[in-house]
Amino acid sequence: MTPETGMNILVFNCGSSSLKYRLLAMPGEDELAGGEAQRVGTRTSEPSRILYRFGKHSGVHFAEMPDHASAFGQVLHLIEQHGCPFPGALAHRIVHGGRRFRDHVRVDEQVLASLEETCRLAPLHNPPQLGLVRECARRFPDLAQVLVFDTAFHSAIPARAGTYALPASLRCDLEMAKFGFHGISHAYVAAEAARFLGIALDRLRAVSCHLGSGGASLCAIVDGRSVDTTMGYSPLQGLVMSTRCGDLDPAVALRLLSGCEGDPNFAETLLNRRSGVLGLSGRSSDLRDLLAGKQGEDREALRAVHTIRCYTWRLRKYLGAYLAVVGSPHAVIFTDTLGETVPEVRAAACAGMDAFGLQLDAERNASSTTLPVDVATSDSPVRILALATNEELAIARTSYAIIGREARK
Amino acid sequence: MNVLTLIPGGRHVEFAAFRWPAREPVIAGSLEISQEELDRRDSLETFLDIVAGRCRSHRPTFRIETVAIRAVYGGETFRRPAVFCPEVRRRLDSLIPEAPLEAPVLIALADRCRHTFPAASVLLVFETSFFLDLPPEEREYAVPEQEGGSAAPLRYGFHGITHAAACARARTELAPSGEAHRTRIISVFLDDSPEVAAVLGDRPLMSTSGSSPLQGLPGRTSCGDLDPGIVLALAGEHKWGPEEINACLTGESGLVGLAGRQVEMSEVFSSRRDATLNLAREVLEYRLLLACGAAKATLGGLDAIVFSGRHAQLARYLTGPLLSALVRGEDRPVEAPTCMVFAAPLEVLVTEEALSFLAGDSVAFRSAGREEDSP
Repeated sequence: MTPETGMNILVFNCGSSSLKYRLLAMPGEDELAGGEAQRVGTRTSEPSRILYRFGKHSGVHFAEMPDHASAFGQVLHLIEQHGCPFPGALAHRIVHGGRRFRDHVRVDEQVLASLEETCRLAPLHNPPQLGLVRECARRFPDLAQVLVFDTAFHSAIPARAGTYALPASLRCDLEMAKFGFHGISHAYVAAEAARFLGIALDRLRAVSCHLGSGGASLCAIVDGRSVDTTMGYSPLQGLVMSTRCGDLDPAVALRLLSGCEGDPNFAETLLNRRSGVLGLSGRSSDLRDLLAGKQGEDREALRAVHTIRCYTWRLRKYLGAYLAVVGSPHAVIFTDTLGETVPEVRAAACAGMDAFGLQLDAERNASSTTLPVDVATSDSPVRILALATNEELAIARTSYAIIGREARK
Repeated sequence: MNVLTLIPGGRHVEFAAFRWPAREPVIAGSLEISQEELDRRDSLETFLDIVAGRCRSHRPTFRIETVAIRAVYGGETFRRPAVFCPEVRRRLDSLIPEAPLEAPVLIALADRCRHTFPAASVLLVFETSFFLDLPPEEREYAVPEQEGGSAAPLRYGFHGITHAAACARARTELAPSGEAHRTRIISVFLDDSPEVAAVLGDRPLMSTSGSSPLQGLPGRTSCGDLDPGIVLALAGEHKWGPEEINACLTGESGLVGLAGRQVEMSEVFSSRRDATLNLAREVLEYRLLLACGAAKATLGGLDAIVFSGRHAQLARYLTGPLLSALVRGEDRPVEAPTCMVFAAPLEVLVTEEALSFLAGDSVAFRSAGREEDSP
């Protein structure tokens, strides 16, 4: 199978203790197999497993998976066992490309060496991802592999937006700049929005709201390119997230460090794992739980209401900031779990934003269950779209394009 | 009424003596005095003796009746100005844990003022009071409620005296009677530590500053908004101590950090041919745009932008781009927001606020300041 005749691409989305995969027949984009290996490399009370699906058939496969390389082996085993064709190429989502990777690339030795250097920027995610890529190269040296970076879409961000007001020693020597994340998703929904609206991607002006049940970020898009995003040097900055604090006075972070005698692990755990929606509500990291439990006058209900307000307040502030940056936007795009499935979040984000040209059709917003959908009123100057993101498909499309381009050389 | 107004800063204390209601000071100046010296009783005595001496030498009959001190931080405790007395001193003592630099200096300065000017009332006017009415969703950070037994950090603004006066002037100019409470104003304070506030009527809805002035817009030497992950990376990966990080973020960053040399905000905007200042200018202009866009979102629209602070005249460089970005997103043709420059000096505002309080007048700033037409 070649890029000319079509190609099956096995996409890996490697988390710190999980491995999601999808086998897609390109360019038709049909899913041949998919699933997620869970509890990879962790010691928990429950065994490692793969939740898999092949067409309409799904199941659970239990296996020892002490690392991502063994999870990769188990996934291949499952694919062969179910009679699926062997992939013609492998594609990997890589969280952090640093400054070295401003675009997605095909793997070679030099690329692997450079990828090694980015590990310090994302110590939880990049090392297992690099390990998986190396294992794939070892076992199938002739198989094409493509790296698709979450940061690459944001490499177009201009210096005025991507620069922190720090001395050159930190900005240049220590690479302390805005990298941004969720780039694969923002790029994907930008392309889908342009198609939905019937305009060329390189003319699209929009604000993309990737509101996951865990992480969340906004991206300002001008002419189809990212010009700013709320996450920064790390995924900690920006919106209130499930357990991450988002924006915080640097003096507060310093106070936390001083309070724990400079132990950065304490502060890191507090700000990454115990803050955000969880820290504000004191009971759940999932905004949907709070939306369901906001009735009543007891303290828990009042905290739930307050947490929802804090979440949407920060979201609206950034939305206003980015609408000012974009100027004359075509659309505001909502995507990922909360953006796609929770109309209350879309309604709260757009409430009182008439001055920016946003007019939500409350009824359509509340009743729409099929995506994509435009939930703006018919005369709203700015369209309000809910679109399903699909990072694995975006990775497969990008990889197919890169392999095809190189084959034509 | 003869009033001595004191504005303690990082490296100096500005003073001005007024024969109120005349708004031109009888005498004004600035004395270099470090934070450490402000903490020392003998240094303070010397400083206040110098100030009193200068007042007497200028007008031998001038007797100070009121001392008004600008206080940067009053926490949750001080919603209004306060006459310095044992009870107020006790309340200031309780602020020391959350304001370890500012509160002791303020207590020492007020104490020595009472000693040097025993016949005068000593009043404290707090910059943070104006921001105590920020909505809870703006005030709170998304961190756990209680951490290590200490109160959760809250957001303030640190130029509330000027914002309040500038917005009062804007409301007077703009709103027909009865509509002032709905006037939507973005207040842009331009100084070494700049700050944007969104104000609906007389109520603040947003402030770019945080629990300290370090958050928000980049200052002359302070970093402004920063990924907290950078602080963690400096401490964890690069093994910097908290004091080293603090020194860098407060003293070596901001416009100075971006330009790579000592620079004033006015130079950043006026020296357009100096390519070494381009990055500093572009970053500050961009952050101002983000702040104003966010402010407009909290206000639900925009009626006026008012510039104030020592560098308020820089509005002439900023108004055009800001208006063009903030208005072009409107869904229908609307009247462009009014732009104003509010040029009242801080010492006048502090004096007016203190005397309004003394007079039992809850409507401060009713006649403060001068303003000019759109730049």
